[in-house]
Amino acid sequence: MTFKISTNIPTFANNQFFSQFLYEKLIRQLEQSGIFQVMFKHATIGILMVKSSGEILMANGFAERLFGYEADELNGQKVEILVPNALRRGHAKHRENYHKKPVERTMGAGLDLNGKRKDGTTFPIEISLGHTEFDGEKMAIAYINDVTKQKEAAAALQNEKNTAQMYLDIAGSMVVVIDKEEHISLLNQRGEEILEVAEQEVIGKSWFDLFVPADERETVRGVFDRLMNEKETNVEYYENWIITKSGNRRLIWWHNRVLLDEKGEAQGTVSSGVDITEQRKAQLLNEDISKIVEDSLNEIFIFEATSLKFVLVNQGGRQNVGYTQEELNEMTPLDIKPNYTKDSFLKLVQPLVNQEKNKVIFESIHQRKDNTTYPVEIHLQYASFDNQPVFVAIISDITERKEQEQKIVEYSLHLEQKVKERTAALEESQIKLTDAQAIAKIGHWDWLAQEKKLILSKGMYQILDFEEGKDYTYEQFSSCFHPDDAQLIQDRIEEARLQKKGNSTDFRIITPQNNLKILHSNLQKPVFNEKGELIRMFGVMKDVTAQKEAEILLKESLKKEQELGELKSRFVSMASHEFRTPLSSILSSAELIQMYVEANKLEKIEKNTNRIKSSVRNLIGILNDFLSLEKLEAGKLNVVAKELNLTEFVEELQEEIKPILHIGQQLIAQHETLVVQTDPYLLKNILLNLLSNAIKYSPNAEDVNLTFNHENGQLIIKVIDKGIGIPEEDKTHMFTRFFRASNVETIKGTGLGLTIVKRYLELMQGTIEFESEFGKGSTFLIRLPHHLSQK
Amino acid sequence: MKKILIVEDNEDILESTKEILELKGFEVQIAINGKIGLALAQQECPDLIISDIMMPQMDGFEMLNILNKNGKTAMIPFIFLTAKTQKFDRLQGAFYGADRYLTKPFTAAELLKNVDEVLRD
Repeated sequence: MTFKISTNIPTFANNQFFSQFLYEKLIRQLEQSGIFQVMFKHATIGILMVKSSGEILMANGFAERLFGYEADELNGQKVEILVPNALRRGHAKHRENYHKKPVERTMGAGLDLNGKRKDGTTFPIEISLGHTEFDGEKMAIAYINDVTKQKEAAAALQNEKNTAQMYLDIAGSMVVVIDKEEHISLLNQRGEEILEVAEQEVIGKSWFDLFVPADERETVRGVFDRLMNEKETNVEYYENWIITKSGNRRLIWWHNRVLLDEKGEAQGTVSSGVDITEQRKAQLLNEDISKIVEDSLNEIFIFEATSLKFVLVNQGGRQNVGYTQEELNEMTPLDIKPNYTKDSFLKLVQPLVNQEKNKVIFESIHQRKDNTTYPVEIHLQYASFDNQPVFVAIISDITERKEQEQKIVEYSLHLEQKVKERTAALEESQIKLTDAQAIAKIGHWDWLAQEKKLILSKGMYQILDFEEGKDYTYEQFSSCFHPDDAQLIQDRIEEARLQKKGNSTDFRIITPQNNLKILHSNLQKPVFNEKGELIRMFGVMKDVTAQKEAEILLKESLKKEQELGELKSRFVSMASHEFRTPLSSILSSAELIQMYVEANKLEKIEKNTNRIKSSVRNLIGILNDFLSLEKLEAGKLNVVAKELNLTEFVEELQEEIKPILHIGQQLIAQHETLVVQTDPYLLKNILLNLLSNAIKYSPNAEDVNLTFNHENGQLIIKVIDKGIGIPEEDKTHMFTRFFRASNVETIKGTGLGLTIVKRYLELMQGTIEFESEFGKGSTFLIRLPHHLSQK
Repeated sequence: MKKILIVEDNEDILESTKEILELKGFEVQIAINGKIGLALAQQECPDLIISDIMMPQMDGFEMLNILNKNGKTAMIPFIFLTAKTQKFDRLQGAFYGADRYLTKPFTAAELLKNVDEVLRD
């Protein structure tokens, strides 16, 4: 059998080592030497020659064994018997299509093809197709390989890969592969998490630039270089800091392996890293705490909760008790606490075990190895040490404190003694003070606001006429305040409270024994507590009644002195005018009389003598006023009350007033028919004064009214004029000696009339008041008490 | 015959002064307050004015002050005749430009001497 091998087999077509020519020459030699037959028979690949009709022309031995057939059993069979039933129908179609356009190719590329054995089982195969012609008939040649093993291996490999990837992904370690150019070629899921990146964004980028801190970059790079160059150190443990994408620093503990290629050349490194940042921190913290405990100035004893054996005693504790840690390991707190039994100690720590308390603080005695003792204060807590329940005792040696306490006790005893001595001295001086206060009419009071308690000194009792030995409330105290001064006192107390400072004031009191006293009060700065509440007010009072009385007397005499001075100057100015005018008139008239006598004009004399008489009368009037006043002030005037018939009295008045009335002016008198019990001389003087004023100050000759009435047992007399009135600003001075209103200057007067009227009325227990409107007239109203009887 | 104006609110003094001057041959005109005195002085233009100070309506100071403001009356000799004896009042009088300041009571001789002196000047 000879085969004509298609000359266009693509397998070698592009092989640069064979030219088309050499290839064809080789084929010819092979054909001639019968080598093909040998190759066909012994090939370790199944070969089928299939007619275009689908009939198997020939199958080699490997193919027969592959599909489970006897030798030559397949020859003449349809190729479809080798195709699994499901694909059989489609296969004939494929076959026909292939023959229409035959090319060398693998069959069912990308598909998992299966062959069907004689026993019906199927197995994975790989088929490639070629084509030729034999006896003028188109022929397909199929090369068939059983790929069961490859498939299995591939599946196993895939499985292994998946597993590996899974391991990578779920690994607690980060895994990073760095190639020799320092570029990242792999980063697992944990690495992504730690570095806060996605694998894709870092692949191909420099590991050192991206993740190693600049200051460590050189060192870490050195490690990498050493790994790459010194292959003998294949495994290296190393820790270094990295910086994550967001800038966090993490400490990573690396396990590195160098990746070698088939020639043993270093291609890069694969490193697995564990984030030990937290671990390291905890470790450092632990070390620090241990050191702190060991170095603590306090003595720290840690002992097991059940056996009570010491687990750890720090330097301070060891030094003070004088045992080594080894000795202490076999001891319990009871060994150094002579005054505790196991029972009493367990009772002490029970609240901690029961978690009723976080801490037990107590004082005790510790006994040293040398049997000396020292006082301690112990802070005991329940804790866990190496997962074991323990007690932690922090001990302060309170030897010094105890000594100080002892000193304080001694000192306070000493102080108490001192206080007793001082108290005695104070009591003595207080007695003296009380006596002194009583003599000086001084007292002090103390108001305890919180207790609402009033404390009065003996002096105060005397000032207030309070009963000695009896307690008084503030209300009783304040009820002594003079009603007119109570508000003032209240204001001053309030002022002291608000301004937080003392003040002083004078006020009056009326004691329970009805004595009026004037007190000078010194209110001290009030005392407040830390909350700002008033707790105490304190003050000193002095009875200044006697001083005040003297002061008032002095003031009065001073006032009198001043008044006298004023009186003098007013008298001078009054006398200057009021005396000079009538005197001037008298002098002139006297001289004129002489002149007329000389000139023998006697008819002119009478007029001038009349003028002299009138001026002298005027002067006598003034003089009488002075005398009246002098008599009054010397107290030489007595009231002599008589029965007075008003009708007669008014007639007399009318008669006496007539000469001074202006022309056309009338005195209109109205009166009830009364007989009054009064002093007629004084009353006449009073009314003549008032009436002459009313007439004088009515320059336009308006009528003057005089009325008598009685009302509530009083005699009411009114003198009413429509004259010039009294200016408002002068009204208060109307009864002052020598005072004359500002609008009367050209009307003669001494300024004594109303003064005399007022003094007379005072003697008669009467009053006078007036109403007046400037320019419109005045009304003077007299009230005289009852001494009257109707007739 | 010299014409003298007397301004005085006290009737007795006004009359007696008038009589004294008339006895010595002066023509005398009288006014009972400053207001009337001022009107008469301006109307009659007397050779001398003798005036009290304290008077109703208008006092002597005020009258003299007004007279001083008119060229015609400013030149009239002026004598105050008053019960005001205080130094302050004398200064006031001098301030208003009175030629003499006589105080009450006064003698006829004293008055006439001053009148003569003032009129002679």
